[in-house]
Amino acid sequence: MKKKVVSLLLATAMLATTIVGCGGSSAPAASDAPAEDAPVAEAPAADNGELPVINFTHGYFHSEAEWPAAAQMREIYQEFADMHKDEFVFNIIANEAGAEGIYNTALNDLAAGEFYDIADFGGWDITPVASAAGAILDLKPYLDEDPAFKNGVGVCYDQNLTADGAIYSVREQIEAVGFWYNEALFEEAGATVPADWKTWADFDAAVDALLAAGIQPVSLNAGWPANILLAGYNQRSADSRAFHLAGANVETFDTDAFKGSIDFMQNSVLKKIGVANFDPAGDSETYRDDFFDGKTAMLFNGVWDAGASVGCGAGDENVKPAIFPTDEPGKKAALLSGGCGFVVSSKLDEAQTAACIEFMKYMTSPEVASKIIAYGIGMAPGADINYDEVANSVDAPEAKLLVEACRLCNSADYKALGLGNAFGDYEGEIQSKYAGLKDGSKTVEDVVTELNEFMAAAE
Amino acid sequence: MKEKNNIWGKIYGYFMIAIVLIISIYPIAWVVLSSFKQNPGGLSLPDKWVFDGYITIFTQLDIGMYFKNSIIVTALSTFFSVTIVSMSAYVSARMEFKLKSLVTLMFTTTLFIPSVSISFPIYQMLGNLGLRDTHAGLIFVYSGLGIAVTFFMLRAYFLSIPKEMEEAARIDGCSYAGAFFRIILPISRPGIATAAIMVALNNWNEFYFASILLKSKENMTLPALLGQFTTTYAQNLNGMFSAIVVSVLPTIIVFCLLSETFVKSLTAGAVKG
Amino acid sequence: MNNSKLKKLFGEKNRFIFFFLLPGIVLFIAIYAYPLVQIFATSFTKWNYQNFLKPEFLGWDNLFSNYQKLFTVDKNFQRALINSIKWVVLTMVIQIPFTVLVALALAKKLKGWRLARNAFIIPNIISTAAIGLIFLNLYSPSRGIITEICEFFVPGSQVSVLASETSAFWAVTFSFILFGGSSCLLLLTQIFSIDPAIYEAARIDGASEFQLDWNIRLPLIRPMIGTVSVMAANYGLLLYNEIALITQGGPDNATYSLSYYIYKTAMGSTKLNFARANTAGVIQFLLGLILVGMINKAFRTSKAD
Repeated sequence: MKKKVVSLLLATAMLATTIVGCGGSSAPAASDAPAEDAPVAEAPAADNGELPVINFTHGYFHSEAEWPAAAQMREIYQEFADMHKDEFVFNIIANEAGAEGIYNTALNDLAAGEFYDIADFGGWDITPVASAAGAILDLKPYLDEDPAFKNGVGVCYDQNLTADGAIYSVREQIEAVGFWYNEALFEEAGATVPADWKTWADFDAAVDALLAAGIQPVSLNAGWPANILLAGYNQRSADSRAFHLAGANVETFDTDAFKGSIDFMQNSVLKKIGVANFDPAGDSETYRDDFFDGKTAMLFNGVWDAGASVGCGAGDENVKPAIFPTDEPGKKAALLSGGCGFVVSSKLDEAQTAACIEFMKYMTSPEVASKIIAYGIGMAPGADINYDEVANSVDAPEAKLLVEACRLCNSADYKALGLGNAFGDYEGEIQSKYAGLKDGSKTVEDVVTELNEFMAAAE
Repeated sequence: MKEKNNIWGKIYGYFMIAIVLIISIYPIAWVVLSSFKQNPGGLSLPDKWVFDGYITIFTQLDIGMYFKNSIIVTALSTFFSVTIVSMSAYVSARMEFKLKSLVTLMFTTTLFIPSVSISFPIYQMLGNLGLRDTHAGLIFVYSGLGIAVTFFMLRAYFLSIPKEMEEAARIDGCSYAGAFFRIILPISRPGIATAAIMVALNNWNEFYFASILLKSKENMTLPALLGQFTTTYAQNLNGMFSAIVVSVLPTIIVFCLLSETFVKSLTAGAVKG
Repeated sequence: MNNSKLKKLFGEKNRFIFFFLLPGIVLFIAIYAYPLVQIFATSFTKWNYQNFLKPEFLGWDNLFSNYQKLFTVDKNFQRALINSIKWVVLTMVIQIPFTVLVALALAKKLKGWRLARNAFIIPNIISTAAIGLIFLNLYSPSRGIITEICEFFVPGSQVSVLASETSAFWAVTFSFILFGGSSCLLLLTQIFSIDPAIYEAARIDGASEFQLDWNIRLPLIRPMIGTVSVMAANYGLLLYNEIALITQGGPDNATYSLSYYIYKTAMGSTKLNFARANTAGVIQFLLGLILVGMINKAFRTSKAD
């Protein structure tokens, strides 16, 4: 009998819920009145009612034991909140689903006519949809009026400038990518080390020398590391750089520049390396393990992997950073991608907006930038960073290695976006071709045709 | 003749048991072994036993909170889901009425709606109800997710119960509801328990809706633990597997304990039938 | 006359039906009804990142343009559709017979049957994240065991399971197709609820165990086989996690499923093409209904329905 009572109660509750719910769910389609009061309702109750309240959401939820960088980021945020506690209430909220969770929630929020006050999207690009929906703030005026702020965001200024002349996101760190090599293995094979390479021909020669000595030059998977190599090779000539720069807006893949890059991937890389050195799964981490275990001579991954060198099987002292050669002797290239970071709601009042701008200025200031590099979190975009000073401020060998890698990337003659940031959806399509290129079931022409078909289908 | 037959039957039986054990134990054995290895891989014993993942989970993370939240959400949503669906399934299995095929079709359709499509409206509705970032909201959503599968399971089970049972009860003066609660529910305990287990398992592992609907750490459920070991730059497989073991072992233990209760309730039902 | 009809309408039986169905229907409306309508309606619109808040009707002249594109230019969708149909057929041909055989074998209550039953459910209990990682590892050429086994039989074969389109398809298939633990549990529950008196009579008549299985148990659990078939077919049709974790649709998009296509097109792309994804959703939905209809028809017994 008890069960019956419960179910009847439940039925009533559900009914009531639905009636209210239906009333609500019909609203979004019909009205465009955004629920402006919603963020306020969600905000943790502020004790000091006078001060403006800003909720900042980030994805650094990891425990300190698991990822020290996360705890350090939280500390950097907290310092800002404490510094300004008399002016505004800066609530720092960690999203337990990380950057992807923040992005998914933002899409749901947008559909419901809401948006975060300010959030760090950690590379997940919300700006096209959010700006089209008019939900986010153009930061360009604030960047233009403050040279220090503009310097602080460095490459992000140009990279995130949209066709309409707006900048919707800046970031305190960038993905700085060159590659790593194992000096001992290069010497063992008698190959020229990447630091001395003049052009890509030296890469080919080194790969052949390594293979002749029975050393696998590199492990790749059908994703991230192979894409880094492709993007790096794309910087070889002016034509090729132009193609890379056009990225997702290219009109055709049937260009000599692109065909040259794919031909390089197939014949100079994929066909030369062993089967066990190519993992067709896009998110396998084997390629890193192989390098740090001392089994392969090169690793295509970002500067942050400096930390993995500690006590690795390859020998800490053998792991060295490098950046890409080009076909112009002596000129070097690196991949520096800002991507989507801080995004601010356009629905905030003046005081809240000012606080958000203040926060972004703080995050991109040289002081915080130095911390981000010194703590080993990543590379900062700022143009005013004194790498010598940072290098002197750290003691740990892996921190010194990271600083060195960042300095190297910063010194590149050509700085370009990574493949994903440049080519958007095409990145996934391009990487799906590697397996076919490796086993020879696909030719360069096939890849071009299929990518053009995908382009046609997408519109 | 009969003996020989039995032998072949037994060989076949043991053969199937062996196959099932191999394909089922391998995954969990691999996960457990891997959780002690620095670099998970292969099915050999670890060269060096590593406990880092477990140490992090039990000392650094508020594992009790995750468990508490998951238990509350899973238990309540499973209870609501099974109660509600068993009522509907019973009506659909037993009663004749006009819109019956429509109702059955309606539940069927829920099988094939992509979850990408339901998330926006649900998020919005819960926002309007003020149920975002609450357990109540998540319980509400979980109660409705997968109603079709539960519905089919229970309906098939009710169909297999002889009609005479309720008819006898009706003659004794029981109301329809009375017949359901006093006669049908007790007999259907094994079927309902099985359905409840399926629902509970799904809800225990669900993360997409939890990650969107729950914003504060205090409300988060157990699957969030996995994220601790996946940073932007690298995965810690050893830690991830420790988290999987921690979240899965209790379910396996509870299941094994419960399965004995099934068997008992089964025999109880059989005597009556 | 009129009076009695009214009385019947509000009679106990109808009241019972109404109140028992109500909560289920309320749940359906709250969670599924609106999305269902929206999926259908937006398949006739332009709806992507440019107009995320306001889907635009395509107009009567271009009404089916989303559908047209799927079937004419969208190679990924076409592959996804074919794969999903294949996976449904494979669950019917492999998973269901295998699970039924296991259930019949376990029902003999030989030593260890309880352990096997409990073990069989484990792959269904572990989160798909774990299952995905396990198989990713099994198939990995450097750490996995498949490459090693092939190397043992054919030295120098250097097999890479996930690199070729055909083997990658089967790799995904075998990451889920044998795991019928929960279906097996349901079948067992049903077998045990068969009245033992029925067997005894047959046993006395000298029926072999095989005959008991074939002539008595199988027909009696037929409705439940129908039910688990619907569930399994549904799983095959909606297959998503295994693909996202093991192959990510690759190599060369050869292992796309409908669900993976829908996710990629809607959420997994900067274009957020919800209209196209929902169009694929409509097709998946209709396919599902046809499937359930067919399965129900195949397993309908004179007793049920």
